[in-house]
This record gives sequence, structure tokens and C-alpha cells, in this order.
Amino acid sequence: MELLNILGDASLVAFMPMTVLYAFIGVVLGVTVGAIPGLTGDMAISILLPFVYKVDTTMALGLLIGIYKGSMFGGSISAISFGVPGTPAAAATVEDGYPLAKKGRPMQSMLQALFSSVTGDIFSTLLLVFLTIPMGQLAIKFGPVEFFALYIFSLVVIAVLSRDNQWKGILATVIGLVIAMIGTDPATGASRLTFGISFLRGGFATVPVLVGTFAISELIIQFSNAQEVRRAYKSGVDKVKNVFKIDKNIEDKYTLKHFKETFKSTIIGSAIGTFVGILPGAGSSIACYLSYGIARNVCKDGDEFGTGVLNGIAAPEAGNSATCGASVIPLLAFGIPGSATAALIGAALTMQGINPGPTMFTANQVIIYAFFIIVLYASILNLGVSRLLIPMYAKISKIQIKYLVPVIFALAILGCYTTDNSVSNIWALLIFGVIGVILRKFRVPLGPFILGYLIGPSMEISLKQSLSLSNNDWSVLFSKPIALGFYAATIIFVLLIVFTFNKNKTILDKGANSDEE
Amino acid sequence: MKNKINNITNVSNLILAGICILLSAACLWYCKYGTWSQRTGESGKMFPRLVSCIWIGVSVVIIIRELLHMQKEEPVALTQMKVWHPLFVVGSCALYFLVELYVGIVVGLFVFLTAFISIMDEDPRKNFKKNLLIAIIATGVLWVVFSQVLPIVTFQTLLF
Repeated sequence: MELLNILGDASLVAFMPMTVLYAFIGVVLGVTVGAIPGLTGDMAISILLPFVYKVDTTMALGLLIGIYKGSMFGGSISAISFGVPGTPAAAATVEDGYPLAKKGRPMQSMLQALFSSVTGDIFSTLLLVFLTIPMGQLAIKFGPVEFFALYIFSLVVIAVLSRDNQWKGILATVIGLVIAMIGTDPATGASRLTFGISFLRGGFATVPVLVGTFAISELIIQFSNAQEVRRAYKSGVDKVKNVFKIDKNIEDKYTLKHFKETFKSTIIGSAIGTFVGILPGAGSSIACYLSYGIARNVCKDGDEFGTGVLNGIAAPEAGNSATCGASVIPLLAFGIPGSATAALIGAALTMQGINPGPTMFTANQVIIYAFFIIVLYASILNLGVSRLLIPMYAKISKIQIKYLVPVIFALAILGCYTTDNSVSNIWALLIFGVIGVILRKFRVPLGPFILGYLIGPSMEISLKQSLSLSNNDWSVLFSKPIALGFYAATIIFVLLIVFTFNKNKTILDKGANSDEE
Repeated sequence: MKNKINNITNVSNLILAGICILLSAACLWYCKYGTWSQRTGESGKMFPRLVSCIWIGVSVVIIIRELLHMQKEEPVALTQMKVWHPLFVVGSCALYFLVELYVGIVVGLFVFLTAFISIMDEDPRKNFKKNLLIAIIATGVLWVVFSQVLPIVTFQTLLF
């Protein structure tokens, strides 16, 4: 009965006209941003972070979830239309989407991408709804020892999934942990690792770190690319245009028959995407390549993958979208985000005064159920809006980056300043923009860096509490069965990845590399 | 050519690891001798020490793997980014913010957008009118959104 009351209250807030409107705007914005090569959903969410705390929690969630879901499909639009993935998550879609479009069936390719994307998304969203609460209830029983083991598990998983960059994955995580330590010591309140610089005394606020690392660094790279294009233009080199003529005699329709024929690969993608999404830091790029690779081995037309087959679009699209709901599960249950985007959503929740993690299940029950409802209807909104606007979106992806980059810079700076009217936020934003560029150039993955930065404070507190309880006896970390379970799971996972996925190395490498691009 | 690219990747990884060793050593030094370390107990220093040691360890492993050519990383050529690109962007953003803070949001936005669009344009002279128009429209939209619809920008400025 109590659950029904909570569900009723949650439905009321989730279906408030303004919440639905924000979710709608989020989906449109997400697909638009995803369709434009160079811009990603992460960037859009990080740019909007400073503004979301000024609106109601459910509206903010509607907006951010809408962007997250919309951008996953949006990336496939330019992948199919021009052979240029709008987001790294759509990189595998190019393999078959673009050849099929060149054969004269761009609409069929995009509709396949849309339906598979939404199916994968709904699949993982249902798992989110049914799995989060039991996991959260389990997490309530966790003490500092169990949480520390869970953090170790998460950080090792993040590093291992960086594949040939495992060591750089660990390095990125450690750098994130160090950045999180700068500022005030949680135990004594004294300034720590500031080296006497007063600017560092308060540490780095979350918003400038996230916006700087994700958005500003990407914009600097876009600026640099524009200079290269400008230089080539001046020296008379023409740009290569991926424009093809469409034979209008070819039937370009997508029917229920096509959906049924590709359902198997859609489900394969959904299952893989969901599994990968739950793992901290794995990311949608790995999910899409892994789904593509496995579907190629399983589907009857596997040999034709790469020539423009629908199964080759269905699997990666379902795979990347299935990470959406799944990556939020560890965020809500344990406070550990499953992806960089989930980390940004977690930061938005924190800015709203809600701590993601097991305490949400007692302190913010209505919000958590409203979250589930919004996640579900945002998928349907994504389907409806994208189906109607597909013809228009192909044109949107042609918007020139030279107009977007300056406007986004202006937005990022205004947004960061207005979070707490602090000038130091701007300096931190620019510093992290440069740090982001340096990390990208050295091919150090950003996801583990951000996850390390966000997990760091909680990890330190759990270690400190564990040691305080045992008079600095480190063996306490191995004294609880659940903690031992996490350590065992860590070892098993590492062995599984190292030995089982060696055969699929190329696939994982492609995913890891496209994450960094 | 491939060897050259491999060498660039190797050298960049060695530089990265070298910088990380220096920074982590600085962190360890700070944990031992910094003013903060005098005020905090042993348990307070454990986490920073642990993280710094892992940082050094991982950096050393990266160096060893590079020297023994164990790094399986796909070699990539560092892209054509010039050092002045990030410096220019960061400098112009800082300037834009200061103009916005002390002169006015409309002036700051208009100058920044016009200049930046022109710098990113392949042929700024040819597209001057179009770029100017887009800068004016974008300034107008951002001003309406941030100063009128959502009055969240509250600079005390000389102009507007």
C-alpha cells in the first residue's frame, strides 16, 4: 500500500507538464547534439549542469535523461548520412549504416537504428527498474569496509576495461583521486596538497572540473581542427565530401518484417549493452563494438557485415543505447556511476541536494520512482520525436562547427560563473580544459579520470572509517564476507577479461580508442 | 613511417610517465613535510600516501613497458595541434569573461562571438556579413535567455 502511495506521488511529479516538456526538450537537444559530429551528449549535459540546479529536480532529471537517450540515437544520424559518427558510441554504426545509405536506403538505415536503439534502451531501463531497488537494499547493509572493497572493484574494472591502455586507465583513475584530494582535509579541515596556493584552498568544485574536462577540452580540439581546415583551405586543398547520389528507384522503407528479421541482433546488442553499462567506466563505445562483433559471429548474414546489412546496424545501436539505463543502476544503488554520463547525472543530483546511493531509497523514495518513470517515458518520447524529425535531423548534422563552438564556449563560461558567482570557477574551468586536452593528447581516458575524481572522497572516508574502527589495522579490510566477495569478483573479472576477451581484442581496442577520440 | 609514429607514441608515453613521477613525488614530499602533514594524524595521511605510491608505481610500469616495447597500444601520430591553440583559446575565454564581468554581457558576447567565428572561418572576409549576422543573433538569444528569461547573470557592469 505504501509502495502504491509512493508510486502515485512519483507519477504526479514525473508527469508534471513542465517535467514532460523538459524531457521533450532534452530528447530534441540530445538528438541534435548527437547528430552533429564533434558534439556529444556528455558535453551537452556538462554544459547544462550549472543551470539544472535552478530548476525542480524532476525537470532537471527529465532534461538530462532526455539528452542522454537522444544523443545515443543522434550519433547514428551523421554516421549513416555522411559516414562520420556523431558520437564515439555510433562509430560501429558507420560500418553498415553508411554502405546501406549509399545503396539508396538511408531512411531504412536510420529507422533500423532508431527502433533498435529504443529497444535496447527499454530493455536496460526495465532492468534498471527491477534491479536497482534490490541492489540498493543490499547496499544499505554495507559498512565502510564493504564500500571500500566495492570502490576497489569499480576502479579495477574501470582500468581493466581500458584494454591495451589498462595502465593508462589506472593512471587516469589515480590522477582523478589526487585532484579530489586537493583542498580541505575531510578529517581536520586543514588545507591539503595546496602547496601554499590560496586558490586551491577550497579544492576544485565539481562543475568546472566536469565542464572543463569534457566540454572545454573538446572545444579546444575542435578549434584546433578548424585551424587545420583553414590552413588547408588557404593552401587550396579541397575538403573531402562524403556526398553520394541516391537512386530514387530503390524502395527505401522499413517495415515490421525488417524489425522481426533483425530482432535477434537487437536483443544480442541489448544484452551486451546492459552488461557493459553496469560495469563502471566501460562506456557505450565498447558496448557498440562488442555487440557488433558478437552479432557478426552469431547472425546468418555475418559474412556480409560491413557491406550494408540491417543486422550490422541493429546490434551496435541496441548495444550503445542499452548502456543508458544500465549505467545508472550502480549510481543509484551504490553511488558509483557506470559511465561518464551517469557521473554527470550523479553530479546533477548532488547539486539538487540528493546524494546518489543507497540513502536515496529512504530519503528520496518519490524522486527515485519518478526517475524510473521519466527514464521509461523518455524512451517513448525519443521514439516519437526522432521518428517524426529524422528527415530534418540529417540536415541539422550539417550545421557548421565554426558557429557552434564559440556559442558553446560562451554558454560554458556563463554557466560555470553562475553556479556560485565565483570567478575562481572560471579559472578552474579553463585549467581543466587544458588538463582535458593534455589527457586526450596523451591518450589517457577521461572516463576513469572523472570516476576517480568523483569516487575519491567517498573512498577516502570509507578507508579512514574502516581503519578508525580497527585502530589502524589494515586486516580489517578483509574481515567481512561481502568485502571478500568483492575482492574475489575483482580477481575473477580481471582473469575473465584477460583470457576470455583476448579473441575479441580488436573489437575492444576499437571501442577503447573511439572513446578517446 | 610506422617506426616514426611508434617512436612518437613511445616518447609521449615516457614524457607522461615522467611528469606523473615528478608530481607524485611532490605529493609524497607534501605528505611528509607540508604544513598540512603537521596538523593531521597518521590515519589522515594514509590515503594520500597510498594514492601517491600507486601513482609512482603505475608511472614506473608505463616507463618499463615502453622501454621493453611491451606496450600494445595502437601507435598514433600526435595530431597537428599547435601549442598556441589551447593557449589562444584559454586566453580569449579569460578575456571574454573579464570583458563580460566589467564591461557588460552584451558587449562581451558580441565581441567574443564575432572574433571567434571569424577565427574559425575558412574565409572570414568572404563570409564577414553572414558571420556578423550570426554573432548578433546569437548574442541576442543568449542575452534574452540569461538576462531576461532566466535572470541568473548578475554582473554589475559599466555598459550592458
